[in-house]
Amino acid sequence: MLVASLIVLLGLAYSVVAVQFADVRLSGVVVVPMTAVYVLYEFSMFPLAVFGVAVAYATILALRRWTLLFGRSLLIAGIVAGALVPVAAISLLSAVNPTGPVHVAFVGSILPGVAAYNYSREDRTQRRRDVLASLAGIASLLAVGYMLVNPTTGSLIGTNTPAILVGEHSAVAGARDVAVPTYRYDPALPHWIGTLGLLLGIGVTEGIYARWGVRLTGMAALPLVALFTLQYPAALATYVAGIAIVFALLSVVAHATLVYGRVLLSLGIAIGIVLALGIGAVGPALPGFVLLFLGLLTGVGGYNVHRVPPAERRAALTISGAVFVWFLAGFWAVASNPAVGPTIPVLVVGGLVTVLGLRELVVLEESRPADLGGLRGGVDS
Amino acid sequence: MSRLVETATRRLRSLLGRGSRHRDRLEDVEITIVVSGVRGKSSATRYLYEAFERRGYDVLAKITGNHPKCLRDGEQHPIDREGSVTLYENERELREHGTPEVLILENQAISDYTNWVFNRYFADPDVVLFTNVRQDHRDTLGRDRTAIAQALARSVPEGTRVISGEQDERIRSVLSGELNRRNCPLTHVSLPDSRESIPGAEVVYAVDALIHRVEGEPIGGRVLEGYLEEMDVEWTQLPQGRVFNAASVNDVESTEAIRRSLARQNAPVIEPVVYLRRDRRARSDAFVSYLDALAEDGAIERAHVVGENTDPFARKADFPVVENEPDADADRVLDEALEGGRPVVLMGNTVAGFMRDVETAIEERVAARQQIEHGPAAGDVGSDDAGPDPIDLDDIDASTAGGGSARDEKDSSQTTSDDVDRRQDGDRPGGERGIAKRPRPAGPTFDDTDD
Repeated sequence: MLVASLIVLLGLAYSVVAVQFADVRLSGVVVVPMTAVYVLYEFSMFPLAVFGVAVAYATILALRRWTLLFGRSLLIAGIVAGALVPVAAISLLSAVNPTGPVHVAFVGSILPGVAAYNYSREDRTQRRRDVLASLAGIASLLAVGYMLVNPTTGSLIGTNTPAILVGEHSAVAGARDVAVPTYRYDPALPHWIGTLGLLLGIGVTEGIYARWGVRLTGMAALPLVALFTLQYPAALATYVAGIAIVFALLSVVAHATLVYGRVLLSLGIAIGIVLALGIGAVGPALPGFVLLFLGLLTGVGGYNVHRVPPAERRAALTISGAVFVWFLAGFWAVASNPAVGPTIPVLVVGGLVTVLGLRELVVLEESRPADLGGLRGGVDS
Repeated sequence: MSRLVETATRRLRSLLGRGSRHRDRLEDVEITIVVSGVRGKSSATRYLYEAFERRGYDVLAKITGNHPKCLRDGEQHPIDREGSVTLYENERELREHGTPEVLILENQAISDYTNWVFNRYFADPDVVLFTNVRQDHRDTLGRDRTAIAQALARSVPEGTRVISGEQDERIRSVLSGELNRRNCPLTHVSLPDSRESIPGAEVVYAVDALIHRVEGEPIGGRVLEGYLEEMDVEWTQLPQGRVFNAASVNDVESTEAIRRSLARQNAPVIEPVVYLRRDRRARSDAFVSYLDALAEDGAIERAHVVGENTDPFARKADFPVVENEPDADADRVLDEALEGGRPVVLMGNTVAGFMRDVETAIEERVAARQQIEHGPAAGDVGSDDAGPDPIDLDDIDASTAGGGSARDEKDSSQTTSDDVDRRQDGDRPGGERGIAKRPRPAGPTFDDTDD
């Protein structure tokens, strides 16, 4: 995962430079680097990603034309529409090649929608610049990836961390005649259930934010981490510890430099990726992609905790914990051979986390104003 | 190469120390006031600047919006903006202008996160003034007024004094609940009955309350009256009827405040002309709900919409809508709106070619009317001297009643009257956090100037 991590880090640096010096937003912080990694891993991801963005963009345009939906409603609509393309295509691919990039769909499927939504918010000139800069960024990262994956690097770094791009399942490794043996990702669930869980997770996260104004640690993170935990219990510890470290470091950086927003998010993801690399080198055995995603989700999670005002942080964390437990339980109920079972300690901790999360929700609900029915359309009733 | 490394190292070192240097500068400021809320922030910032400067303080005020500038020593200093607007300009402006005694910053943030970042890292306010809570930036700040109130309140640092001009009791309760959890003493400013009909009066009275609390004496007098006059509205009389351009206020609550005020001038039913922008979808959504409510109350019978994406607006509306393209002829649209005999209110968005054309059309018609009535040397533009006597509009306006009979500052139920006295008993010499009352400097006082 060294090469994949390097590509993500370079992509993050590119997005920071692009937004700081050229006012180009690259359709979202992680879209360019993660797309590059996906494409290097499986070449067919490129047309899928382009098609997914196009479908999501067309959906958003249609909704803008026919409805007055705005903001995050449009974003979610774009994500759902954009996810259908890669998910459907990867279902097909996985039927042909069961060891292929099935799990890529879980994270990759939301990126087309995110990109399309960000493009739809820009004017034509800015959008053109953004699309061109995104494509240039992806092309450059693909070139870097192609050069870095070769028999020499494969033998030098292939086994230091779990392999992704130099691994035996990677398309670029095949093209460059490199095939480092690596962990095989055996999903415990049909991937469509995982994707459904991911979309449900987005719905739950957004619903909680809409009703109580509390941001959880990530839009899609909780079902994903639950999914990983189902097979690799170490994923949860990695995620929790990673969030704590990223949050602490980002707080120090923000305090020292006043940096905020996309730059801080990029930095958070970079820290998360480096932490994941470290765990990959010396920590528990986890597949490369799982670690890479955990690094990404950890970075986003640490940043999200940082962006929540201090008075709401406890609620954000405990509710996130409870939502994670619900997804873990849900996935466990339909999983074929989960690594985590309903042991007494798991049930006790899970129950405690659920109770704490529910208690926060009850407190938030009680503090909501009782009657706002009179605020109709800005006119007092 | 070595020069490049040297430059990079220097920049990194500068970046790493930026936070502590900025905090040092903020520490040196005697009082930092952040003007937050939705509508009237720039006006409130200017009023505060004028009030403190009149009393001899060294004041730096930063106003954002379409014409961002800093005010210092009676001079305006435009803020250069290239590319995206970021919060970093607050650090830069304070660094460039030097530390004042009183720093007044208009909060330029439009999301819950950036509001919090602004207060936490860039301003560290002693006092926050909320002008009001209205539906604007709904896509980033919150879908409704409750969510917006929540987002604004949650952005206030623990223990900071807040003075709020919001008048709606339900929104006040949201603010009180959120700020109470942060141990933020909160003062709700109420309007006298006689001033409730002036749109934006809450901004003036909130400023007055803040000055009173910090300085010990309110603005009062003719200056206060002058500010209120600035806020007051009246119809513009055209040969074909009456018109008012309320498009610049953007949000539905402010538009409604203006409509109510105008309704008292013999206009129970109006003809709205709404300009829609493609990139302001949340606003379009708010206006369709608003006009639905007005139609339900009988305050409108139909609406004219101009601009981009009028179809979904017309589809969602429960009232008849006359649609027009963005490049519609302004004179034609105005004539069509006026032909029913009802006074016309322009609303929605103001930054558009059509709206500029309408402004021009109105000015030309006003001039033509004056020429007809008084000859070339006509009187004031916009005066409504020919307007009919006001009528009682209780049928559509009953809900505006309420509020104190005299101007009062009502502390929220969560705060106690001790909050007021803590100013003298707080940890810092002379008062509570950030409201350290300093000896008034020599120089012209407020009363001197006013009288």
